[in-house]
Amino acid sequence: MLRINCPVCGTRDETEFTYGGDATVVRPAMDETRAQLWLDYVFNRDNPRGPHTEYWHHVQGCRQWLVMERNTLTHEVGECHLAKEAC
Amino acid sequence: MPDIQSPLAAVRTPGRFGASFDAGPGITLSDAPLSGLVQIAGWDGFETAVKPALKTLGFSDAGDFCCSRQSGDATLFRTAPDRVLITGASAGDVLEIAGANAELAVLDLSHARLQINVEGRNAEGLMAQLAPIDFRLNAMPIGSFVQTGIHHIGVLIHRTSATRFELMVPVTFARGLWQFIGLNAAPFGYDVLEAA
Ligand SMILES: [Zn+2]
Repeated sequence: MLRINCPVCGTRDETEFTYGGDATVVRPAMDETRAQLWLDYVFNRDNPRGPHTEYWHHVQGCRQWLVMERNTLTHEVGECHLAKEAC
Repeated sequence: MPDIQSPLAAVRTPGRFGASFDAGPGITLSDAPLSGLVQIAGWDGFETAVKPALKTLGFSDAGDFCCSRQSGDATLFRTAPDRVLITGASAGDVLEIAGANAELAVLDLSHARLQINVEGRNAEGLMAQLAPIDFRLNAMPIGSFVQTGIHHIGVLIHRTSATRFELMVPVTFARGLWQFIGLNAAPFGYDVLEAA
C-alpha cells in the first residue's frame, strides 16, 4: 500500500488514486512528421528500476492530477505537486 | 415542481437492527435530502472570480481544504483549488451572480446528492471500517471534512460533532452505499430513523 501526500487533501491511501502514466513523456510538435518520434510518444516507455516521475489522479478525493516521484524498487514516495503547477 | 423522493424510499426500514447491547445500539442511521447544493468551479484566478458570489452568502473567502465554513444556513466546502461546494437552502442564491461570470462554471446539484447521517457512540468505529481515513477526533476535528471513497464510491464526509458524520453521496449509488453501511453497522447495533 502506497501512502500518497496529496498537496490538497494530505496523506491518503493509494486506493483513492489512479495511476496516470509516466509524467516525463513530452508530446512531439503537432507538425512533427517523423514516425519514430510519434511511436515513442504513444507506445514506448522506459521501465526504470529506481526513481520514476509519474502522474497520479486523486479520483476519489480532490480529483486533481498530481506529479509524484516514486521509487519503483522500494516504493518510496517522494515529492508530489499539482500537475498544473510547474515543478 | 415534482417532489424529490429519497433514493432510499424502497430500502430504508425504520427500526432496530444488528447486535444488541445493554447500552442500546451504538449507531443511528438516517438520511435527508439536501435543501440545496451548488458547485462552483473555475480556472486560474478562481479565488478572485468566486468572491462576489460567496459574499452574497456572507463568506469572506473560498475557505480551505480541511474545514467547512458556516454562514447562516449555508455551508461552504473548498473541494479543490479551483472548486467549491455550497450546501443549504440559501445555496441557490449564488446561481445567478456566479452563473453570470464566464470565468466560473456553476452547477445546481441539489437533486444529485443525498445526505446520509451516521451518529452515535460508535460512529467513529463504523466510519473507520468504511473509509481509509483517521476519524479520531484529534485527527478529524469537528467541522473538518474529507473527500474519499466508500465501497469505491466517491463521497464527502463532514464531521459535525464528536459523534456525528454527515455523508454526501451520489443519489445513483445511495442505495448500495446504504446497504453497505448497514452491513458494517450491524456489529455495533443500529437504529434506522424514519424518513426526514
Ligand atoms: Zn487530493
